[in-house]
Amino acid sequence: MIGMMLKISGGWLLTILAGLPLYISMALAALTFLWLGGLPLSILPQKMSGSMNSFPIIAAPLFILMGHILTAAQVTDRIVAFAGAVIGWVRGGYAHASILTSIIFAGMVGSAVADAAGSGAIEIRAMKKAGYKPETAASITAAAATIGPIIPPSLPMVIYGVTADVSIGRLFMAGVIPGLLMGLSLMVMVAIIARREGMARQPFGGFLNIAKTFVSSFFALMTPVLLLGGMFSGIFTPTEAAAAACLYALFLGFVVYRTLEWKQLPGILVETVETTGLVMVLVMAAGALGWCMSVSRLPQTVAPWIVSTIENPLVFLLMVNLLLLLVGCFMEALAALLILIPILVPAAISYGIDPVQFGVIMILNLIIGTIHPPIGVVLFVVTRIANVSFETMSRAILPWLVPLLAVLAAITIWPPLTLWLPTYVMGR
Amino acid sequence: MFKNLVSRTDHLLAIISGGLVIALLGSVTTGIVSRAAGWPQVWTDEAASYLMVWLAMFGWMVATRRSAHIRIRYFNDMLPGTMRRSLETVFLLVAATIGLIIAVQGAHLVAASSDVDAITLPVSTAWLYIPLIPAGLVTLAQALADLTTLWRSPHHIEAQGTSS
Repeated sequence: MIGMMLKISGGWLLTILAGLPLYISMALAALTFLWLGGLPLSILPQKMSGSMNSFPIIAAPLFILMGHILTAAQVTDRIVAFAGAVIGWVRGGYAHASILTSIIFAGMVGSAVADAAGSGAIEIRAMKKAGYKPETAASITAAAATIGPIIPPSLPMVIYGVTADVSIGRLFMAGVIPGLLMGLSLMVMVAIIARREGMARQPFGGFLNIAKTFVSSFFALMTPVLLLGGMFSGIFTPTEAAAAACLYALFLGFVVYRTLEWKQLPGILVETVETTGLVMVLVMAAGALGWCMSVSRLPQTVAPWIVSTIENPLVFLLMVNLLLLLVGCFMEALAALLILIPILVPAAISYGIDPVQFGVIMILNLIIGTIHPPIGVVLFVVTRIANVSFETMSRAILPWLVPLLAVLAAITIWPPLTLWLPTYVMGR
Repeated sequence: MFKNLVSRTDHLLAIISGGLVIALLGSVTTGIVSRAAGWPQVWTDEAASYLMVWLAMFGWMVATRRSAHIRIRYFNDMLPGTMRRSLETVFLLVAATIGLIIAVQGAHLVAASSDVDAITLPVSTAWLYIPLIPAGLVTLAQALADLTTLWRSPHHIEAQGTSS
């Protein structure tokens, strides 16, 4: 059955590259395996439905809902103002503020696209007004948006946790230090480029202004505290934390800031359903295909083969990084994650690599893929906002990949960067 | 009349989907609140899991109706028009077949599990498979509709999905 699965996998990759919608290509591969293997075709819908019948995955639509509520409630504006007051007055201050906004926003929404689309428009407009080149403004925003899925909550982490059977709480904790390092390394890059290009800064509004913007955005800034505090004090699970955060976001929009109107709710709900649908149908199809792969014993055969071919775990991780960066060039991050988890995670475990560390490495790799050409989803979003050509953006983004790749190398080489915090907070 | 029917179906789809999101949020919240109140309800987790299955299937339908599914167009866009159109035809036929299989096999699963009870809810496990039927049928219908559009207007060669 392994030979058959390998042939099907080859055909499946071809259909993906040829442009067949990803979930249909996965369902087709699963169906072909069932048909050729003489297995009942009802396994396909059964496994698809079974993939959704899981409590942890409920966090995904709820985090998506929270992101849509916060965006509709214009919470972003207050965070941008606070970040500007705190750090906007240093050289390249608008860029620094954009990065700080993304770090804070990352603690509220778990998606790079949501970050780029949500705070990106305000940040890029402010930077352009201050005389930054449009492509530089867009590149900084795109690079900072990649912090979104690394700092909890994170949609890719929920998907990875459910698919690879890894604690979502641990994954969330493991993302905190790498996410902060990403922000820090991008700020170092801004400092270098700001000096060279003479980037503008915001006038210092005084400590009173910092205090004012802090008070104005206080309840919004409390979102990550509520999320992480609730989760790690044991009050609720990551799934329940998502529900609590949704209610808090509604409270912010309707009661605290009064920026949300009832008539906006139907739109928010339908947007949530659509995003949930296109992500979850991938998870469903990947669930069915993953079952077929497992029955064919493909992962169980490939993992020992990889381990016998590459002896050193570090070399394996470096090879995985190269593979994922390449895959990230052509494939949507969540789809790539779902496709590669059944093959790469067993191999990583065989090397003694912690699946939590491996998860953060996989996610960071694939998220970097969203900001580099030729298929960078986040790059497309900021290109549209900044009104620059994709070709110009493809060149402008290159220097901003360097700090992110440096963080990727650091978390690959030194496991404590990802594993220390979850072990410290949650024990072994 | 047909357009009116499609529009009403989309509206109904949006209403049911929105209701499912609210019900899901309500179910998880009830679990937290009832536990905190010292009166834990055993059905909330299972209800949330069932609602999640329904939400995912309805989300799939909404994404299909809006042609929002993720696909990689990078290489496809390089092909000449006729080849792209032929390839798109094959893709739509594949989508229609898969939709049909999911609907038919989903109906079999509903029949097979209708006498198996859920653990904490007073319903059968068939409720986990019921939404597969409309999801499969919407996929089939949308693929056939896109196929008709594709062959009626030669310039329309984009169907069933957004660029990745």
